Amino acid sequence: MWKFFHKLGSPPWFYSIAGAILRWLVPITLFLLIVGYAWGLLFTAPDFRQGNSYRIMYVHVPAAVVALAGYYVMALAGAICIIWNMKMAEIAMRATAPVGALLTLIALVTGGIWGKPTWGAWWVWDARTTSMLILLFLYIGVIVLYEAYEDKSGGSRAAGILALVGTVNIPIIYKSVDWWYSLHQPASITFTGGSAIESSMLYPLLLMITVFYSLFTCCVLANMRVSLIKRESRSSWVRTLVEED
Amino acid sequence: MRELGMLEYLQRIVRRQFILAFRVPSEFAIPISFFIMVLALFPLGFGPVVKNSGVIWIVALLASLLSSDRIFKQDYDDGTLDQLLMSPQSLFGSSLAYIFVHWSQTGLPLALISPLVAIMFDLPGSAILPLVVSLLIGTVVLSLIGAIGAALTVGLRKGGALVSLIILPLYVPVLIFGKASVEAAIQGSFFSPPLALLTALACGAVAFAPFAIGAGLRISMEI
Amino acid sequence: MYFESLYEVFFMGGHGTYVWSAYLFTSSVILIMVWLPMARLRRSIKRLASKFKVG
Repeated sequence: MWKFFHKLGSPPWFYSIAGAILRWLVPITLFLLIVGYAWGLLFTAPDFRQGNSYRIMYVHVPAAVVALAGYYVMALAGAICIIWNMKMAEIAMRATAPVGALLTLIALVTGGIWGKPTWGAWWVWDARTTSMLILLFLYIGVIVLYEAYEDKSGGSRAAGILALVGTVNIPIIYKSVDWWYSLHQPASITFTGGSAIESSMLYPLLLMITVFYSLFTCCVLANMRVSLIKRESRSSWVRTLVEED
Repeated sequence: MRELGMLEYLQRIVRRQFILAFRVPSEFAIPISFFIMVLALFPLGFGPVVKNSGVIWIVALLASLLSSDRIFKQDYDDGTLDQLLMSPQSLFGSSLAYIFVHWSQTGLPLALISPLVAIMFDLPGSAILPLVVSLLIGTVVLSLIGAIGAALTVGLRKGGALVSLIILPLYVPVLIFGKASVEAAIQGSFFSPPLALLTALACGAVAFAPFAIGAGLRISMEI
Repeated sequence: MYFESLYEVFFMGGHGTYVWSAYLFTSSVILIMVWLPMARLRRSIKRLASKFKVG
């Protein structure tokens, strides 16, 4: 078991394993994405109250969920980076940040587009939308911080601290939903009881959430491979790899 | 030289910081003048007096933001921070000492002058007490968060603007609860729930922020 | 299929612009997110290969 973690820290092993995973994961993910699109767009009934505009939910909710989860992944990588000073953790954190930021952007834009026909406004300042916006700022802050450092190791550790501080912030803001009169529906999917969404709408949503998680993983792994090649360009394993091609 | 106890060490740091602060008395004036001047801009920009307590809170936020990057800068430049990190005393206490002095220069005067501002903005009398208390407690949190940002960026050349970008999202809960307590008082309901939450934030910040600050200082000093 | 014709798929009961612009935006961002690292990887390898050959 520990041997596995040890191997994770080795750049050449990680590079080849990530490449092998990506080779089949990317096509499957893109295929399932199209399946999810078709299912959500064409093969589910229109919503009783919102009509057809609710179909945006099938991209908005997965993007928002994975954006939030991605922040925690990034913070976890940052924590590992700080505690154990592993270079792979540094690379992992830097790889997740832009992906998470882009997903947050998708969530924000699609949320705004969904809001216009539903509530009549492109943007409402309720707690959920605001905390999504804050999430974007937190991502940007982390990215800007580690870019400002010339020393990569110090920059990653500083960004890791910032990410950890941010993780405390997210639930606090999020919990203000109960507090700060929001227009959003209360959370309709809970994993404890039954859900408030009809099951015919739930399954394509769950598929899309899975697809987005998988997309996140693909992009992070791909980003990590690029970073590894760039950082380790002087080492022997990169040399042999490049000369093989 | 005998080794200093923690309390005596902190007292020395606080005294030193206060002496340095009083050497340039205008430093005290800057946050307050900024606060009042920017507040004066709002009625000018919005027309007749805006009866909104949120404005006061936002400007307090900005004042705290702008003064944040100066918390450690001076001591970084003259090498005192190096000494601080090399001393056997923990950084937890030292950070708190720095922040205490910084807060008494920025947050405390702001909170004390807020009744004046409340009158300027025509807020009802019931709002003054929650305004003062929420500012008192809230600015502590703002100073702590600002110190985190300052510690992470003190070694960087372009640190100043970066600090604002980093800590602004972290300021939001303080703004929400601070404003909520004043709003509650204006609307005649109890203002203690949001104030209690704000205090909880403050307790958490005091307990945990110094760890982040110490770690950030260590990283910054490596450059 | 809950839509009668292709026209309805595009129009979506008046909400067509919203739904399709949202999906289009999402798809383009996803494609960029997935394609960019792969392109950068190929470019890096190519650059390193030429550097190693010369050096």
